[in-house]
Amino acid sequence: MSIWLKNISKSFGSDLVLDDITQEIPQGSLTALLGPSGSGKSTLLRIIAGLEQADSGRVELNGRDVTSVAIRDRHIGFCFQDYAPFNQLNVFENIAYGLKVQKLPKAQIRREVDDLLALVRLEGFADRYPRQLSGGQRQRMALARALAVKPEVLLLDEPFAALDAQVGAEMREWVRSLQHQLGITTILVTHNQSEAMEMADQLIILNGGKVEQSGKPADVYEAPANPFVLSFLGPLTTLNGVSLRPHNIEFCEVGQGSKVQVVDVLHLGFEVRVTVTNQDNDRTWVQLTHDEARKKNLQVGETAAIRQRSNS
Amino acid sequence: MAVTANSPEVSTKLPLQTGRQFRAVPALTRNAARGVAVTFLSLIVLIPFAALVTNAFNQGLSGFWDAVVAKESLHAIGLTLFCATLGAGLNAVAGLATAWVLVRDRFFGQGLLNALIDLPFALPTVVAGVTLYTLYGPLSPVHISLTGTWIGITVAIMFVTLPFTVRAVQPVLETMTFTAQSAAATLGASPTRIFRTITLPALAPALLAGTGLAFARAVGEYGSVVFISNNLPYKTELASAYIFSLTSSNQNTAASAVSLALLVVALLLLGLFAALSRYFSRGAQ
Repeated sequence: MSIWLKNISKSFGSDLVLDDITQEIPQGSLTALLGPSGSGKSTLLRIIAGLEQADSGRVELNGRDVTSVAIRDRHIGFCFQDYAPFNQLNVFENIAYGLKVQKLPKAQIRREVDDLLALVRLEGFADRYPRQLSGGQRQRMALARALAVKPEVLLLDEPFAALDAQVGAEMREWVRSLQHQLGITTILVTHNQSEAMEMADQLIILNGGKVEQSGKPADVYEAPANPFVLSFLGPLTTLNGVSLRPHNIEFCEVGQGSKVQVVDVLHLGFEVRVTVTNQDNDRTWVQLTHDEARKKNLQVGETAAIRQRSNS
Repeated sequence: MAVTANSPEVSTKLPLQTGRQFRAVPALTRNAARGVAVTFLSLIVLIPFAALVTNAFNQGLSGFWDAVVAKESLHAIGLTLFCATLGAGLNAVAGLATAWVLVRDRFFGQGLLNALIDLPFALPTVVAGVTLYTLYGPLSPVHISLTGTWIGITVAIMFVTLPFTVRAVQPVLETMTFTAQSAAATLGASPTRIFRTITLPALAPALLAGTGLAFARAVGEYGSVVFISNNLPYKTELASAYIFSLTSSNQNTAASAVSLALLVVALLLLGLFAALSRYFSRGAQ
């Protein structure tokens, strides 16, 4: 199901949170709404779900105008940042909740919940209560609960923010493959650019209630439309007053680039960060691969030269 | 807290305290505290309680039994339990609604209303009794006389026990994030269903605790109900007034017997409240 947002505006008091947003979210895609906090991304997601009403504009799901349709009739799966577990119900009852609302026969509910438990790898946890689960398990329960009612759209609000780094990385990969497997149109809200780049087919970059740029992650990264997108989407450094990505700088023979002095070399596994200063004491940092750094064998205090890579 | 028998391998529980660990309080202080607690409990609770039990059986088991099943006694105990249950039950509903309005709404005079809730606590119960008698007595300025009726008794009970439910539910409502309610809405649930299946079960332990306290208070209430009830034996005489009248006529053994019977029935009902509360706390570690 494709989603069309048409001229959506929303204010909280005198605070304009969303300013005339028009955007298409293509069928079956995983789209990331990416932006700093306060950019309006969560509000936009809540408007799509019907948890919030836009002041003006329309939300269309597959050509059907749902702007004034109640939440419970929108057929949307929503995963909250805190997973919103039903703490008095066990895992089975949590997942079965939406099916019970639909008054399905008991045997069918049991069958479908068992399938979902297998899908989210929570077999054997059916009798547990949410507070007895880890963060990752609780999130998978929330996903299964949302998927149980076979929503046409899945909305994820900062789904990995509350998880520790390693579990978050595993969950990102797993949610990504689950989305591919199910082919369900999904919108992910995040402030984390690497999470968005890693997961999404399409990025929508929001700032101050406006769309700064949208498109495929690689395209947006390669051709940022404005300085905000450039600075938000990845690391940035300056060379002779020009902003550019630290991996787009290389070391060269002295005389072929700007003369600098090496002040720091950090080995971070595959990546090596070299910090240099020029004679005006302007700092630049350069991102090298481990191999490149080993060939150069840069030492702190050494004089070297850097230039923008020719392919960038 | 709530033990879930069906999940023996819960890994999030803290290991049991074994007594050989770090102690924040030195042994002397700890033992002294224990001594004070035991002495205090004995003097204030256990010894009077033992005296009550002994006194109740002063004239043997049959003397106890005769005093309890005396017609006037049974009627007084029955009326007390009826009015206490009704008053506490109605307050559970009214208290929940009041707490909800105080937490979830914003309106003019909210701070004043919030402060007013504690008034029945601050007021001596006799003052509450006189106030209600003035308002709903034979000289009622609003021409509603509830004197000598079970309705009047229940109104008085509701007046003095309202703060219990409000103050028990309020903090739970204040910390409730309501995302679970939103999640239920996205799953197709109607507002009524959301309230019944998500909100109410989450509030139930606090609501039951508050109602239990209100009930316990109502069973022993004297000052606030003594005027409006009129104390008519076999009609509107409450257990507390009956016990008082027994002691006034030097029937101490009978007074102790009826007191003990009332105590046992009240404890049983409180036990029921606790069991219900535990049932609704399932899933809350």
